[in-house]
Formats: sequence, structure tokens, C-alpha cells
Amino acid sequence: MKRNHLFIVGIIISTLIGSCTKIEDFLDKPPGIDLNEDIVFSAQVETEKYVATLYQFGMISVFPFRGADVGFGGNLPSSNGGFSFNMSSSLFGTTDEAEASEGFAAEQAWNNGGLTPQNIVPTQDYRYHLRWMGIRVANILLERIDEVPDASVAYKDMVKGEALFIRALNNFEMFKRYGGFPIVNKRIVTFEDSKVPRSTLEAGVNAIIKDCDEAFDKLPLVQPSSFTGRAQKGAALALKARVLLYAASPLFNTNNPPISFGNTEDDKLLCFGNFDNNRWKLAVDAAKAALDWCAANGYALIDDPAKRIPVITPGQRVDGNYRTAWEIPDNREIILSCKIYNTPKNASQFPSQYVLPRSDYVPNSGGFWTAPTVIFNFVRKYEKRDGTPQTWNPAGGNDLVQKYAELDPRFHQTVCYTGARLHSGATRVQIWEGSVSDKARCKGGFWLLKHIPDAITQSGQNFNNPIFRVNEMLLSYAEALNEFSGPTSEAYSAINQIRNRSGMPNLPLGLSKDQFRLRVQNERDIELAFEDHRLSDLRRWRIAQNDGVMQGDFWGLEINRLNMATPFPTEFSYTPFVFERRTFPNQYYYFPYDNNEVLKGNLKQNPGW
Amino acid sequence: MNFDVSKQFKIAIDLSTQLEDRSGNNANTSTIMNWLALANPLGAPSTSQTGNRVVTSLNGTGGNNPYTFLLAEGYKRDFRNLLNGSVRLDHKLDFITNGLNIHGIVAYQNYSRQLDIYRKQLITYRADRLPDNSVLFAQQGDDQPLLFSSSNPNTSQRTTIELALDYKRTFGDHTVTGLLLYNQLKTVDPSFAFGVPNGYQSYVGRVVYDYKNKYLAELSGAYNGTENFAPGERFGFFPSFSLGWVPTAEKFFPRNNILTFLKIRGSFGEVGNDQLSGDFLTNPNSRFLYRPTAYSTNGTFPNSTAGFYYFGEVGSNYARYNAIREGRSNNPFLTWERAQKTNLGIEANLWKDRIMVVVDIFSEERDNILAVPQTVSSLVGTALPAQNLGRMKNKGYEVDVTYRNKIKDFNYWVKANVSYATNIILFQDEITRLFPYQQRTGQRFGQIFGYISEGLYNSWEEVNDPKRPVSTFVGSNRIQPGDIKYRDVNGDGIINFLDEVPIGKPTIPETIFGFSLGANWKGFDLSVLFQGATNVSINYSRLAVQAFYDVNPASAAEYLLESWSQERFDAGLPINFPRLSVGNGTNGFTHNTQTSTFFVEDASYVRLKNMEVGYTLTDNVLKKGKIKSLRVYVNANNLITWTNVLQGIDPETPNLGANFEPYPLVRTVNVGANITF
Repeated sequence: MKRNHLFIVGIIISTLIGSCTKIEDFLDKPPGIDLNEDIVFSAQVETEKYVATLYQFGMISVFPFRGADVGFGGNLPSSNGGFSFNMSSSLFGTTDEAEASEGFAAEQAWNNGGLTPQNIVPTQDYRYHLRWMGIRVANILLERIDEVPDASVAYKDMVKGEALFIRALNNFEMFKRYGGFPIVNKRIVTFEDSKVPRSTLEAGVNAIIKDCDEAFDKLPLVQPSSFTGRAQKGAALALKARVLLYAASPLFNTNNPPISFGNTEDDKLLCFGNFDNNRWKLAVDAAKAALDWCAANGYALIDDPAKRIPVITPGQRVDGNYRTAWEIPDNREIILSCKIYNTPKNASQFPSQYVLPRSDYVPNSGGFWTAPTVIFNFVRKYEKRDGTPQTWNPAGGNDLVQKYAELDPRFHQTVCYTGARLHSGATRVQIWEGSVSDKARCKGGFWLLKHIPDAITQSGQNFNNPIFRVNEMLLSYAEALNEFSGPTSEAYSAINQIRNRSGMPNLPLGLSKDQFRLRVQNERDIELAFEDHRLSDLRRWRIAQNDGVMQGDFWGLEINRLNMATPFPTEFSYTPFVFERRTFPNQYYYFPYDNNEVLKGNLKQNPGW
Repeated sequence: MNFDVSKQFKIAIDLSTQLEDRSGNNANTSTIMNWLALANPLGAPSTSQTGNRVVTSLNGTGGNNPYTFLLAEGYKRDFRNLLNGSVRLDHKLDFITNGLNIHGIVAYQNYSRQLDIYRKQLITYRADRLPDNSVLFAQQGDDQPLLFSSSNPNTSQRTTIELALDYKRTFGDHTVTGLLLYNQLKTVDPSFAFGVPNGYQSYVGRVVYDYKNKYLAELSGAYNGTENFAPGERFGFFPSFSLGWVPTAEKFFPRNNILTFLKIRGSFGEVGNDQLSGDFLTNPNSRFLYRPTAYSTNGTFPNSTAGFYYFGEVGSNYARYNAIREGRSNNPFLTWERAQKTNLGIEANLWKDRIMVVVDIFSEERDNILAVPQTVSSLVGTALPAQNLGRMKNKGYEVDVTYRNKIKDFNYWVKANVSYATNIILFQDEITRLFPYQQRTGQRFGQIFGYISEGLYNSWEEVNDPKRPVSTFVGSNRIQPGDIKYRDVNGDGIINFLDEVPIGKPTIPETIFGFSLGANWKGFDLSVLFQGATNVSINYSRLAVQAFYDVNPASAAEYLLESWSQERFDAGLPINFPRLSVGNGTNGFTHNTQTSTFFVEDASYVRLKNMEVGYTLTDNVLKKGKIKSLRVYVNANNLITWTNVLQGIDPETPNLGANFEPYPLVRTVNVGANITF
């Protein structure tokens, strides 16, 4: 009997144990780690994948992007390892180029005086936390690239050059916003390593230039066609030219910043602490070097003489050189472009949603939010075709169609105005009182045309996303040359190349240095409009607080039909009106560091925040 | 099914299955409530007079018409199957010693779910007025085939195995109970991170001793293992013990009618937690945190999808380059988070057991809380490792009092209970904030921080006073009478985040109380239940307090008529809300929508939760009809609520989602009869 019991008990125990393999192994089932850092540097094919991450984390973009576009679950990285926000608007409405239509748009905080150290990351510097991830990738690549056994010296040099370029680019993105920034030139391993303080502005600029110079040494002269989008010597030169242009500009090249810590030592976080005219010489030389590289390697302005002055036919695409330059990806004017928006995007995807108006404001436009509206403050900067300023009657007038027709051909290739073609799905856009784009919805009186591929509502399109272009180098060259040695013939020539290829006459001879400066500034705004230059330019020129620039009255056009002609009215009247007042307090010249990061102790907050 | 194989050996087999097949509109109730709340009387008329057309408004997708939304939502079919099976073997081991038993259980649970959604693009028409005043219906959207989407079948299997020796024997006045148990749990679910099943293992031992129901003692220990920590750190030992004493059972205790029963008990124990976050199984960012830092090409990177970049010229050799990323840094020393719980209780019966009182006081201290550091600069550029950081304390009490009595045929009882629980964060890796009052450490977990409202600006004099603190919210340069006046806590002349202080109580009540009474008399019975809560706050959802919220023309609650306006102010009418302003529209004005004491309100309430009156007939008349008894009753739920929260919001279960309309409370009255044959 007893034996029998033991037998049954034995069965119970053995059945249970048998059903769970080995008790001691029960928990030991974590996935193996097949891919670690050593593997990344064990073969060139693996390293190449890490280089893809270098670009995905490290490239800047004309349009903002969302977490999903850089391979994050949905949101962008935020402080403390979180992923908590996304950019829902283009940021174009921050300046005098446009007005964000949606109330939730990040730009409103700039226009309203609502910018704070809490919202700086979600309202402008959305890459802040991602930027350090990109710099970490660059530092790890520089640390370990020499270990890759099957890579050639040429390959290793190229990757070193790319890492240095991306690090310099991201440090420049810090410098232009914050002034002095923490220089992180190696991988941070310990908590103590992470407490990097801000360097002086001068040390920051020097670090960027050093990286640019080293990148130039290591990078290939040009990249093969299949590597378009990867940095080459020209990218390092173009970045260096931009950095030195900014460094020479009044915001930084001074001992008297627009807002001060109150002592000269701390003010070196904001500016050089002195004015040195030679900084303009460095900018001239850097721009010249970039232009020389372009000329020697087939990079040039797109200038088809037949398309300088395009024919304007209602309902038709305005096919000019300027449009070709922004619409066609990888054209010869582009030194380096961003390919974060890697695949063709349709009208309901980003970046389309940053630029298209809502479909109920422009039927068939494809937008579910509303793009910025271009404002009158911007449109009135366009000269007439003869190179003289357009005259707009402050009280309004009945000759709107004629006014538009007289403008610089680039106006017709940048702005979508009443009766113009937005894209193939909206060929004659209705903007007037009584239409769905009235002054309440389309406050500026214009929608944005630039960046929108004509076939966007038909199929997915690759958006052009240029970071460095030949035209920027010409404008920078002209600007720096004028500051250093006045309006020389080279300065004239640089500007006139840009004007001529869009059918605009040469600048008048005999301009003074100050007059020439104003013309260059205007030219830069017209030519590089909506390419994420304006906010930085206005700050470095120290003109952001001027009336109508980022402060004061902001104007739109109220447009009315003067007849009911079919299929489209033929005459319109305009009346300028103030749609809002903006403020630009002095502390806006230097961005506030994210409050959460400041409280961690290593970063000194900028004055006024 | 139970099989008694022998006196010593029993087998029990349980098998159950639960099938659910739900179908209906694809929208759920709270979504529909939300639509109803958003619906604007001036919105689109869903169907036009001319023909069977669904018409949308000019500037909205349907003008927030719930009917339009409902049509567009489609049809859903949700099929769920839950299968449970277990086999339990029990064997007495009396041949070793009396009272010893061994049992083993193998249990298996299988869950599967399939959700199918059928929807069709809703064709809507926009009504456009043409210059000649005629109306044109412009079709919006193209006719498209019926869309069918089916979720991946969601399945999971769970296997539990238990093997235990238990022992129970009484030796005279001594009763001893003992238990030795091994338990393992394995769950297989394709949604788990890395596709790896989840396992837990535990060994439990317990000894309970009881002397004449006078002295009670219990000692137990659990040795738990989790896969979340490295070998060497994954097992944790969690002991606990308790003691009890019943003085009224002592010989020396005088028998009396005032204190008939008294029991004093106390316990101390430890429990563990191995989870960084609630989604630790499905989130690769929270699972197996001890593993060496991994690199990956796909979604196993924190919060990521596959990374890639494109190189090449668009239109010719444009090609995708897959990317590798660095994962979360590891922490091989990660181990169990521990909570030490102490409990002290008294049970007493008074006045011939008419009054029964139970009082418990508890305190819990959590240590080694699993968290990600918050004070390390983001310059690091990678996801930081989880650590055993953080300490927290919970404490509180519970009191239950019951009184029962009868006067002849009249039986009645009254019960009251109150419980209180609060917590405080003792340590967390928190940045040092500029002002000590902003520190989260030292506050309750989840404390609301916001501005202190000092009422509204009522005149331009107040608004234009140069001494008025400058407000820094979006649109703050347009402050007008009727806007909220916030307190400048740090006195710097600026209203900004530095003026945010802890405001209000927690959103989960700290104090919950109940009161019930009942009686019966000659067939009549009555019961009443009140319940309530206090030490609780509500932070109103945007839809509740912002009129016409949303870019589409939404609606507004009637109480928002009491918003500030010059006319109301001049007439001395009650004003409970700031002036109407567009918070989210084209002229963004967010000054009045900050979290502040203006909208964080005391959500205490008392509710007559349930009331029932019945009468039971046991008449001889009934017996002739072969009915044993008949009870008729009326009962009502949620009859009356006394509270300060806005109308339409249930303080018991407020919906705190910022964009959601609160789901209204349902009041029910039932009339019924129970017949027993």
C-alpha cells in the first residue's frame, strides 16, 4: 500500500517537472545580442549602416520632421530620454515671410511673445536632443573607424570626413541659435563626462572651423552619383563659408551684444567680445573657396536663358529657372541636400502637410492642416521687373492683377496668389472675400507655392530639401565682400548672376556700402525664401526688432472680386490690413536653453530668460 | 470533474471556455459621447432636403455632426475566446505523518481575439452658395470599395505549474499549518518584446501557529525569480510575519457585556517589483534591462522603428541604406524594487456584539524604485540605463463600524466606513529646480502643479496697471478684462513656469467613505447606501471649460453662459469663467487655459448611491398558487449627488483626458418582483 502511494506521488512530481524542462533554466531566456558595437566595426558593410544613422540623426532639414521620419516610434526625442513631441507646422511663420495659419502652430509663440525655456524645443529647436544623438554617432565613428578590418584607407578617410562634417554642422546649429555651446568631441561614458559647460562663442566657432578643415582634408573631392547626399569637400567648404559669414555678422562680431549678462567675461558666451573687420575677410575667402570648388566640379546656377523670364499663363505652371532650382531634386545647383524624407511623399504626408493649405481652404489641395500664408510684408519686398520697387497704395487699389504681373518673375515661382496655380490639382486658386480662402483663413492673402511639387496630388513626390546651394554661396560672397571692402565689382557680379538668371536686371552701379547691404539683404530674402535662412539672417544682422521684420504690424491683403467673369474673375482690388502685432524682445536674439537641461547644472542660461 | 481515486488520492479537472461575439458600430460609447458634446447647433445639417445627401459644413469635416461621424465609422465584429483548463492532483501523505498533503496543479489558459472592421468611404457633399445665390452640392471624396480590415489574431497562452506540500494538524490546543510551494508561470504572447515568452518562478514557505485562537503567529517567505534582472540579481527573498493576540480569550480578562471581543494584530512584510513601466513586457525599452548594450537594425531600439537613409540621385540610383542604432545602455546590477509594509489592526465587538469595530493602520515604504535617471544631461546622446533609484512612502488607515440591533420585529443596522491613504516621494533623481516649491520630491506622486488664480481682471485699469505682472503665455500681449489674474509667486514681475506651485489634492481621492443603513419589519425591508470621497481634486478637461473648443465649430456647455463679460460684470451677475476667447484657433490665446486653481477644483462628493424598498409576501393565499414567496421592490441608483463639480461630470469616475467630454452619470430606477416557487 505504502509503495503504491509513493508511486503515485512520484508520478505527480515527475509529470510536473517533466513538463517544464529544466527548472534552473526556466528564466534564462533573454534574446541573444548578436549585434553590438564590436560587430558594427567588424566589417565595412556593418559600418556603412552606422553611417546611415549618422545622416539620419545628424542631417538638418529645410522642413521640420517628425519622429516617424527619423525612425522613432512617433515622436521626437525630448529631455530625459523621453519622446514626447512633434512638429506640426513648418516654422516659416516665425519671421516676416509668413504667418502660421493654425493656432497650435509652434511659430505663434514667437509672434506672441510666448517663447519660454520650456517650449524652445517644441517651438523651434526640435532637433536639440536628436542633435546630441547625431554628435554621439559621429564621435563613436571617429573613435573606432580605424578598427574596421576590411575597409580601405580611402573609405576610412571618407567616413572620418563625414563624421567631422556632421559634427561641425550640428555644432553650427547650436552656435547660430545659442551662441556659445558645449563642445562634445568624444563619446560621453560617465556621469562626470556629461557635465560639459558652454564654451565661449569664439572657442565654439574655432572648434567648428577645425572640424570643417579636417573634414575637407579627409572627404573625397566629389561623391559618385550613387552617393549623392553624402558630404564631399564642397559640403565642408560651404559649411565653413556659412559659419564664417555668421561669425563675422553684427550679432557675434562685437563687444556689445543686444542683451548682456552684465559682464564682459560671460558675454563671451554670446559674442567675440570685440569687433574685428578681418572676420569678414575670412568669410570672403571661405565663400570664394566654396565657389571655386563649385566652378571646378560642375556645380553652378541653373540658368537656361529661355527660362529666365517664364511665360505666365493662367492655370499653367510657371516654368522658370528659379522653379527648376527648387523643384527638381539633386539638380546641379545643390551642393548638399537632406534626404531624411527619403521616399516619395503624397499630399497627405509630411512634408506636404507643412506647406499645403487645408483642402477646405483650397479645394483639392490635399492638406488637413493649413500651411503658412505668405504675408504682404514679404510680397512687398519683390521689385518690379525693371529693378525698381513696386509701389503699393497703403489705402488699396483696383489694379491687383497688374501689380502682380509687374513683379520679379521669382514672385510667380514662390507665391501662390489669386488665380495662380498651386499644383496640378488646384490650377486657379480662389483667394478673395467670399471664397473659402478669405482673409480670415488666408490672412496674408497668399498661399505658399515654393517647395510644392506640381504633381503632388497625383502621386508621391520627392521633395527637394537643399541644405547648401550655389546661390547661397554667391549671396554670402557678395555680402562679406561688401562688408570687408565695399561694393566691389566681384560683389556686384555675384548678385547680378542670381538676378539675371531670373530675368532681373543688374543692380544699379554706384551704390554705397550701406545701400548695397540693404540690396543684398533683400536679395537674400527673395532668393532663399522659405529655406530656413530668414530667422538666422535677421538675428545675425540684428534687424529682427525693426518694425515689420519680427516686431510691429504685420500685414495681409484683403482681396475683392471686381467682376464675375467666367471661368474666373479678371480684376481684383486689394486693401492692406494689419492681421496681427508681433513682439520681439531683445532676449530673442539668443535662444533660451531648454530649462530642464539648464537645471541639470552644466549649462549657463542666456540672459533675459 | 472530481475523481476520488482513493481516500488518499483525488483528481480534479476543470475546463471552461468563454466565447464572446460582439458586433455593432465601430465607434465606442465614449467617442459617441464626445461627438455629441462637440455637436454644434449651427453645424452642418447632416442630410440635405434635396435628396439623400450627407452634407458637411464649409470649414469642417462634417461640422461635428455625430450622425455623419457614425455613418463614416463603419461596422465592427469582435470575436473573443478564452479557454481555461486545469488538472489538480491531490494526495494525502498520512503514511509519513498525519495532516501532510501534496498537490500539483497544471493550468493552461488560451486567449484569442479577432477584430474585423468593415467601412466604406462616406461620400459627403459640401454646400456652396454660388454668386447667383443657388446652392451647389460639391461631392467630397470619391466612391471607393468597401474597406475590410482585420486585426492580426491576438492570441496568448499561459501555463501555470504548482507543486506544494501542505500540512495542517492540531495537537490539543495547538494548531500548526505549514506550506511549501513551488510555482512557475509562463506566458506566450507574440506581442511581447523580442518575441520571447515571459516567465516567473517562486518558492514560498509558510508556517502558521495558533494557540486556542488566542495567540496567532505566521511566518512566511517567498523567493521570487524574474527574467528582468541578470543572473545573480534576479532572485529576491521577501519575508513576512504577523502576530495576533485575543485578550478577551484570556482567563484573566473579566467577562463583561461592554467589550465582548478584542483582537490585536500586527504584521510586517516585504514585496518586490521588477517592472520599470506598465508596458514592460511589450516595450523592448523596458525588458531585459540588464543585457549588454545592443545595437539593432529594427524596432528593438528604444521607441524606434527601422532606421535608414537614402543616398543617390532621385530618378536614377536613389537607394535605401539600412541603419544600425545603439540601444539603451545596460545596467547589469539592476535588481528588485522592495516595499516594506507594516500593518497594525484592532478588531473589537462591543455591547453584546451590537457594535463591531475594525481599525487598521498601515504604512509602506518603497525602496530601490526602478527608474531612469533624470539629472543626466542630454549631451550624452543615448538612452540612459534604468537604475534602482527612488524611495516613496504610503500610509493610511481604515475604520469600519457596524451597529446592529432589533426591537421586537424591527431589525436594523447601520454601517460606516472610512479609509484614508496618502503618499510622499522621499527620493527621486530630480533636477534641482530654481525654487524649492517646485521640487516634486517631497510631494505626493502625481501632484498637479499649476498657477494660483486670484480671480479675474475686471477693468482696464487693472489690466493696464504698470505693476501688473507680465504674463508670458501665447497671446499674453492681448490681456483684457475677464482674463485670469495669476499670482506672481516668486515676485519677479513675470508670470511664467516659475510661478507654478503644487495645487489641489490628488485626482484619486485620499479619503473614501461610505454609510449605509437597513431595516426590516414584518416583511418590509429597506436599505440605503451613501458613499463619498474627499481630499480629491479634478482638473477639468478642455472640452468641459473651453467654450467652442476645437478648430471646428464645436459646442459649449450651458454653464459657460456665466463667463465674464462687461455686461454681466456691470449687472452684477454671477461670473464663474473667464471671458470667452479663442484658445486653440488662429489667434492662439492660452493665458486662460493654463493649469491653475481656477480650473482645478475640489471634487469631493457625497452620493446617495443606492436605495431599495421591498415587501415580501408569504401569505397563505400565495401557497394555494404554489408560490413560496413573492417579493416586490423598488430600487434606485445614483439618486442624488452633492458636489461642487460642474454639471454633467461624474465626480466618482471623471474622465481626465484633456480632449474628452466626461461621460455622464446614469441614474436608474428599477421596479421588480422576485417569485420563488
